[in-house]
Amino acid sequence: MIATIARHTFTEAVRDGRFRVAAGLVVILVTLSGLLGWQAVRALEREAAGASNAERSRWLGQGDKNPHSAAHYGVYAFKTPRPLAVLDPGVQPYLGSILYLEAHRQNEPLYRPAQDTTAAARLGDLSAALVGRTLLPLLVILLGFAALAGERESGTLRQLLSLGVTPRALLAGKALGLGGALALVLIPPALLGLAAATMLAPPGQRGDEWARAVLWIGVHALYATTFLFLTLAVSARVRSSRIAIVVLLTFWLVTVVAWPRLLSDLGRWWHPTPSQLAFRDALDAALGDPHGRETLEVQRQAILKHYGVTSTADLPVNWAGIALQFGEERANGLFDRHYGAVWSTLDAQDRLFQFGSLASPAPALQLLSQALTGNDTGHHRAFLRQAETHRRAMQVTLNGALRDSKSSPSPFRWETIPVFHYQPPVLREALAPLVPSLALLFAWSAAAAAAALWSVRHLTPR
Amino acid sequence: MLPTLLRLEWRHLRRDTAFWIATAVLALAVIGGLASGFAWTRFQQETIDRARTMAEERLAAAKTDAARYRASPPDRLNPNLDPRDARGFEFSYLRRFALLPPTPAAPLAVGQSDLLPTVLRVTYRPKETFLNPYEIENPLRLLLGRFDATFVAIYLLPLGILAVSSSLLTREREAGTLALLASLPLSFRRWLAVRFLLRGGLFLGAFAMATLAGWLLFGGSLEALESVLTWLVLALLYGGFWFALSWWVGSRARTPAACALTLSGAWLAWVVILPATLNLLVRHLYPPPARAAFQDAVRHGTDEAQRRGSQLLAKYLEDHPELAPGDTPANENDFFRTRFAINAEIERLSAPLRARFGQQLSRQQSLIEQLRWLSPALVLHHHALTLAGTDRARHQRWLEAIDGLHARLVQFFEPRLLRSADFQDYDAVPVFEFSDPPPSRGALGPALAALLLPSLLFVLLGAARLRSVQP
Repeated sequence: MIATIARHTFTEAVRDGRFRVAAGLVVILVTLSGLLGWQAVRALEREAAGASNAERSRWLGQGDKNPHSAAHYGVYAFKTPRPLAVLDPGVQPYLGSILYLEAHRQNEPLYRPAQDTTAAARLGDLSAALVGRTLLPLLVILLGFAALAGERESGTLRQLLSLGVTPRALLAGKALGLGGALALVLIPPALLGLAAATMLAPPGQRGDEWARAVLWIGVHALYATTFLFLTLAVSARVRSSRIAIVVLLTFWLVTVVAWPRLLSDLGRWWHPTPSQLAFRDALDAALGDPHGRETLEVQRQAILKHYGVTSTADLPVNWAGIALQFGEERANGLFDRHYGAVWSTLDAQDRLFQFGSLASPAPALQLLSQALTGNDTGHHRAFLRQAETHRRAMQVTLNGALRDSKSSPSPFRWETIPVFHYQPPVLREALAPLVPSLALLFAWSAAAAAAALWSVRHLTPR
Repeated sequence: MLPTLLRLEWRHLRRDTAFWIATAVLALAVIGGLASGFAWTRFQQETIDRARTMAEERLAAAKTDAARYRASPPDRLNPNLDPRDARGFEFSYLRRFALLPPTPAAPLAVGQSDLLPTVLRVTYRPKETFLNPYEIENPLRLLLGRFDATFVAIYLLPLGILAVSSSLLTREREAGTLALLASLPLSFRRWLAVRFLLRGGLFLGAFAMATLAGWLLFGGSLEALESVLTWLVLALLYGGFWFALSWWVGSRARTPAACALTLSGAWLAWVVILPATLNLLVRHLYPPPARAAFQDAVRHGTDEAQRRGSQLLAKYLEDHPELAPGDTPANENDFFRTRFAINAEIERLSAPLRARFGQQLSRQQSLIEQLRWLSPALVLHHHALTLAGTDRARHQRWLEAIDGLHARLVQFFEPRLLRSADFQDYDAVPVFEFSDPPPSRGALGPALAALLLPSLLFVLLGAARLRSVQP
């Protein structure tokens, strides 16, 4: 019986002109955004690779140079786009992708792609993620608002119930039928994601990217299922399809359109970030604190005592290398403290956004989508962390070479400093902070299914 | 007849709880949007005040320290820290900020002001060294945008309108009361027009009142009242567009559900899909040059300039004979002469590269401005940002003013850094000059027409359709 209802519902749905138009639009938009996104990812990859190679050549070709001059010369690290950006570019347009790694300073990444676009871009960029988050629920509502209320209005519900169809079977059949129609819409982004994971990801990361693409489709299917069960619950509960559509559209408006923006504003209100000026002023003041010079002097005296000399000129090692590394380590602690405070604030804002999913499944989906495509703040932070680790390791090596320059005066071999390679977090690491989002999305889906079951228990022909 | 209809409709409306809830929610939303806009503007103003204070304090410290050092010269002082030396003053004391203060109307639309810098410390060094600091902001928040008054007007106002107006005719038809109405001696059109006008007037009136009340409540400047009223006129016309669309669609739809779905689809198309698709296409047609390639080219140019330092110095002195060593020892200030020569070369190389970003952005801007007539949401967004001064054009004018300050700082510091004379010109350092041009109302005409004409068309189409409506 369930299979028959499901087949009938599916056929009715795919024959519905409105569904065909809406589904066709979804497919066209996903394909268009996917293809243009594909092109952009390829171009960005090529340009980042070219610039990285040129940077490496310049580093290796420095000739005979003081290692500390080389530390000031520094290197640029270029963040390459992730393959699944074709599905969801996430927050990448709002983050810099080039980082200057130099002596004494932890820099912030340069050039946010959004700065090179018009103000209209703030109204949103077309992507499969945008379509999935906003259009897909509407499609679900379109398909399902009259699924049970319509049967009641047209009098066919009485017939169905009189034939011995249980309300649960009716619900299951409707859900399966409509779910089948919706699954057709998810095929293009699934193919796009798998193709991008296959063709754009480096061989070593393909498995991870495939898993991400499959999960990306999975969470969107879960999101659509949530809306499907909510739609059926409302359709079963209310008197007419008119009321069902009003209730569902209002729910969609509040939870998908307004709530995420409101949440992000509340996040800043509860956890305000400092201004760049205040942050930089505090950091510069800490870096220039005379306490640093005093502790360096203590260090100098200890080294002189250790080697049994009275002047740094008499040391068997170059004092400049030791002093510079001391300065680096002191500064590193300050960077960790000051940048750490900012990141803690941003984390608190993100946590609020994440737990805002208690009121709407949309924030959870957005966070999961960005994390799965590798374009969330977590991945960006991993890039920054790895680049900073590289910068600090560079300083240790270069200051070490300077320290030992008295005993080994041969020119520094620049290839000693390895190339910076960003190793994106694997799927497990990327999802770890988002377990609450995943749990909340499952909870939403389960609650919606429970609501639908509860609603059909009271299903009556009138 | 009209007063009777109004009275009857008012009685009906008084009991329509959904209408009053939608009106109250929208009024609260616009007040909340203004609260968000004011909070952001306050943050920006505090940052700007902090920058001003910092600059004044550093200048005062330079004068005090210089006087102290002159009275009792220290044994040894790093020139980079010495305010009696132009180098030390510039490096350790001078904080010449270029500030882009929020306009009095800024709380209406946060726009680009959270993405693009509004406080920059300008120096004589190459522009790439100071043009790129960003305000610390959660990228997710930048992606989602602000819950400001313009967001409420663009996204929520039309949805509220659709909620209160989409089933005004179809519900009567569904309930079977249309036949009863048809038996009365009045026209459908007049009856429906009264329903729309009363609801539209109250709904948009409440929106306008909430906006003005919110503006005054949060201490909005009366100086900006003209901009606020212009914003309000545009928002109300935008609301009128959605009422007119609802009128037309309502006249055609058979059921309330079909009407609601069609209107939601129109909202999605005009407010979400079309702007997003146009943004994608515009960026694809005029893609900005790659920043990685730009950075690579600047880096390469800088290396080349440094490698050819002595050649560049010779050429530089040909162009600036007044800066030749003269009586002072030839290599005393060669570091700075070479530095200036290299800086000039870096600027010569990077300016055309930077200009390419500007050109592509101008092309994108020009195309999106032409295409904005396709979506009323884009029309309102564009003009709201212009009125609030949080648009790209104002920021571009500010960047051009920074170019001017940079050139004047180079001109000011070049001779002073090259001569080891006692530095006394603390108050002569060029200051940042930027002012907004007087507001132009010329551009508003097409926007008003773009919102009004389609509304009139929908009204006429709906009216024509209603002639033939059958119960």
